[in-house]
Amino acid sequence: MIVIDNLTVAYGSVQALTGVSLEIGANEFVSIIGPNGAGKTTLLKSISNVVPWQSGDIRVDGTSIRGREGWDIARLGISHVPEGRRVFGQMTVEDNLKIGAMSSRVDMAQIQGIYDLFPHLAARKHARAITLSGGEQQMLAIGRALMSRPRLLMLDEPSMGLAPLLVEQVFHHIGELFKSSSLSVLLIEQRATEALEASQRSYVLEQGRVVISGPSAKLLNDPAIQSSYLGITAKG
Amino acid sequence: MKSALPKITPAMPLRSAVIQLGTIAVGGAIAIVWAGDSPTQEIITLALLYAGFASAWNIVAGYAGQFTFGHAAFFGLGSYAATILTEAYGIAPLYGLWLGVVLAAIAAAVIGSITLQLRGLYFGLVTSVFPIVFSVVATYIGLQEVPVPFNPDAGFAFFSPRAPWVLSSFALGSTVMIGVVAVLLMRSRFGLYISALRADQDAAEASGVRTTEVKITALVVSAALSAVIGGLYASAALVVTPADVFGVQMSVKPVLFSVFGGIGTLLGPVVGAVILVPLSETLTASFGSTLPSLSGLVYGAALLLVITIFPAGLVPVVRDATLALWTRRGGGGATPSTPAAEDANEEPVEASSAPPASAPVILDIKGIFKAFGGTRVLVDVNIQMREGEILGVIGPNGAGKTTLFNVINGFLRPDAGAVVLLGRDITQAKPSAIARAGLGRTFQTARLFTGMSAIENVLAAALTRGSKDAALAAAWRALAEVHLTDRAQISAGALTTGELRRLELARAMATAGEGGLLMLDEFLGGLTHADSAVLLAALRRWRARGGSVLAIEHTMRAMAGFVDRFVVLNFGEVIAEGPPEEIWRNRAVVTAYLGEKWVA
Amino acid sequence: MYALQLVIAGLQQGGIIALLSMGLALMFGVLRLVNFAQADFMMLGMYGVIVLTATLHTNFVLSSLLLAIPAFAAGLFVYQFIIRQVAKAKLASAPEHAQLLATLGLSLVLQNGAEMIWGATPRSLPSAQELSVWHIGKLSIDQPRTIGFCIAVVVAVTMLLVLRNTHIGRTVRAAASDREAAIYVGINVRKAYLLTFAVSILLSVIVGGILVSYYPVTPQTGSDFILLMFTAVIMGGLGNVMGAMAGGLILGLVQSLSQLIIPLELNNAVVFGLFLALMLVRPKGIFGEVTRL
Repeated sequence: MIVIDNLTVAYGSVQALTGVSLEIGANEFVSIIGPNGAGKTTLLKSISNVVPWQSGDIRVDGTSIRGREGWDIARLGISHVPEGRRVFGQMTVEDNLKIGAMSSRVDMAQIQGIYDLFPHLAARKHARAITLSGGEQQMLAIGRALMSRPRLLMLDEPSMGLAPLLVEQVFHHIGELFKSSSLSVLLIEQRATEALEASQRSYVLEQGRVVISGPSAKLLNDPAIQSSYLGITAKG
Repeated sequence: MKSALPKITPAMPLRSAVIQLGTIAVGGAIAIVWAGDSPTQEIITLALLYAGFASAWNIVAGYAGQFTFGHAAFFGLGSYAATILTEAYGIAPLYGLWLGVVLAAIAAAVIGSITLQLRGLYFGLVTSVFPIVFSVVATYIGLQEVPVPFNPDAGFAFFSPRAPWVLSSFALGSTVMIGVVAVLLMRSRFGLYISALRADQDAAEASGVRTTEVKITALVVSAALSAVIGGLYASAALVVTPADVFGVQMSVKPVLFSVFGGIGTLLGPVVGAVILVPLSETLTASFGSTLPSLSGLVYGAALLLVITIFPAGLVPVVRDATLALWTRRGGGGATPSTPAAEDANEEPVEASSAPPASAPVILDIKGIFKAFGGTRVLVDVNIQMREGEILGVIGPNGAGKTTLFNVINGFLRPDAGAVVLLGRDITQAKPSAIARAGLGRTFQTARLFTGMSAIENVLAAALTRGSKDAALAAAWRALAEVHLTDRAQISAGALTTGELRRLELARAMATAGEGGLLMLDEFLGGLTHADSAVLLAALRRWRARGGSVLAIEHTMRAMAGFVDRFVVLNFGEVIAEGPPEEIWRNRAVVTAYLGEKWVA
Repeated sequence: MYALQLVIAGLQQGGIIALLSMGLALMFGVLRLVNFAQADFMMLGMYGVIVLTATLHTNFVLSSLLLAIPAFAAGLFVYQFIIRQVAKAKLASAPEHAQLLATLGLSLVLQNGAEMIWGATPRSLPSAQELSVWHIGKLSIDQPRTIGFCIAVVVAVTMLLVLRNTHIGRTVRAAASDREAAIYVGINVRKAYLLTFAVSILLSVIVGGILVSYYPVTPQTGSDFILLMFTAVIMGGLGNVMGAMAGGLILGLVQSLSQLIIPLELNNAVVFGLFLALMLVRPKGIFGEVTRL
């Protein structure tokens, strides 16, 4: 449903992405791994159209999104869970979910659905979002993104700052979500192992370029990937 | 090492400054002679006075980047001092205005030390309040209207009322003098500090620049010069009222003229005043009797138009246009040289070895706690570093690594615990003092002084450590270390990611001084192998010369083979430390990074 | 008894400052913009009500209501054609100051424009001359000021309720809290900004309508209020609408009660002293500098 074609993005003289091409199909789980500063976040922001790109194109269902406003992208069914969660801290949990619905008519059953998915949130529905723990905020950010009933869910490092146990929980939730719906998922992760395990297909981004891509299972067993991205498995 | 150093091109070249100030002086003189005794002379006087006032404001707002909206406070002190001394004691305004200068300087020092801890909008907002208060006080103590005593035959020091060119000549002289002060200031080491401050206050402070002092000094100089103009203005206005000299409009004028002509340029404020003042005065002279508020309307509308249409200001716009024209004719336009990675002699450094256990402790972090709100970010962190050591701090994103750096270099105060650098307790010290004690740092995303050349970036830091000659030598040496010598004159804004990172390392080296401590925040992230190699080689040489390195990364891989020892941080706690091979095998580390299931 | 009288007067004055400051705080909270011209719109509102009342032969409440439409339109216009343009063409040396400078310019234009049209002599509503007073025991309570206070309270509460409990209110709060995250959930932040600016201007004009019922207007009336507004807003924490309301009320009380010990002419100096003390001790305000709407 999304095709990224030879995308180049620069901030001033600093080149963030160089000729990146990739695609995400309907009901597909794709992950992008790579070191800090590789341009992963920039890639997601380009899709959400909050950073301008210099050349190349991004097409959603065959139509270029060049020149579209950032808020229109969300209405195309692309939901972005940003790095660092960025919940609306002074608003209540429930208000955060309501705002995610992108409409003045909020389906309370849908909110209940989110609460069923993340029971932690239900218990704290009237608390201000900033008072939530990191893991709860991540659940809220995902819940908020789901409220718009997206076709594609983009997740920017959902594991950041979470304890290992919570990370597993979050990845479990994402996996369940993917399996139980027709949702596509685009996941960006530092934690290459989890990302490769969860996804069907992966791209490796380095210094703004796609250096390797392929089925996740294959990458997971690739010795080069193991030594570069799976950290300590390289100890030999 | 005393070989001839390449010349650096300063931000304000002397020749260009002399030409610009000369143009103002000659142009002004011609206008004064041409106007003679006609009423036009009064307009010229006003235009020149505001040109000077705007130039004075430009020093603190344009060059130092500290926008004040209350410069009328200082201007008015000058006006009142000169006039009251004349009225009460018969002291000529030429001498009396110096009292105003002293008062304005004192007021600026007090106001500055109160308000300059504030930044950006807050600072502007607060400064706008001072003239309002001065105005209230002046009215309360009965100074609603102080006439300048008029004696047509008074002498030179009273600006000879019969010869209006005398006052306009003083106005011209003051304006040129303010320009000269600005040039001298900007060409001194202080000028580099000011530019660094404007570009990035935190990075300047971390490079050893005492930003608070620099700001206050700039404000005091600017205020004193404004008072000179205020003193002269009284003799032109003939009556001093709070609504005029302390009025909002008076505070707006220097802002308007500077923005119109070009903030942060030498010529801009003068050009702005010389165009707008005659325009407004002529309009007022023609329609002022029916529309008394016309001049204010003109100024307000002009400010709106400039900000919306050409916010860079007239002088930069014209300069760029001429430059473009000139370049198109094939006259100039320097093409940046390609950075040669092999320009410094890359003598191989013998495999770095960890310092002996007997080496003195250079950094001692003792029981640091830090929380933001309810979240504990650092929990009882203890780390010791020996001189000549390369220590890696690793941990997953969000583990508290950058917070630890900010605590060490003084950006944050720990809730508990102490930091000792080279035997000195620096827990409560300012970042600039810590930098001067021998600590240089880089930032996660490189923070350079954009608008300054590469060599100036490094020089600003080096100057905080010693004499100009020594600093120049150190700056060139640091640039050579990171292979940027041939990019020295390029503006930092035009460098590539890798070059920025290298430049930032050079600046950190110049900040710390030989044998100092470098703190590097994810300095390898997103770099090419060539750039990484340059950085790592420079760091090995740094250590070989007795320096130490503390580096943050989020993966071990990047720094294995480079560091002597790792400290692993997770959720703000040190969960492991030791040589790389030991860390590989540490169960707690594996769990932190990969989760329980990976622990076989 | 005199003190109680002063408390009442302080609350009445404070209510006006509170409503005015809430508009400023809302604007700062959402747009990160300090609007120097905020109080000048109040001044325009005062003139507007005088003109409307005279031409239409109505009372000030009706003319204030009529004025709401052009006030809102003026807000839309100023944002669309000045503030947004400035945001696009950033001032190279101080981007965050460009919009502030623009509002400073706007303030000069409004003040001098008003003087050009209506002159510098104070004007007031004809009805404002008749001072009607309620007597409760030994207290005398000024009627127009009390009615004004009540209107201010109603408007303030309405605004807070709208921000809290409606979709549009949540949209504005989300845009204020995190611009980028708001875009990700499909919020048209440009529209949210535009709306906020216009509503904030509308508030100023409404305050003008209330104030003119008992207070004469000159082109400089706005300037007289700006120090009060800034102090109230900083007291409450920049961008904190509830804080600004509290700050306004406290300020009114302080101003009024200070008459017990300090001469009236130095009233502004008292406000300023408070302002300075705040900047020194708690630059982030009593209630903290979080955008809280």
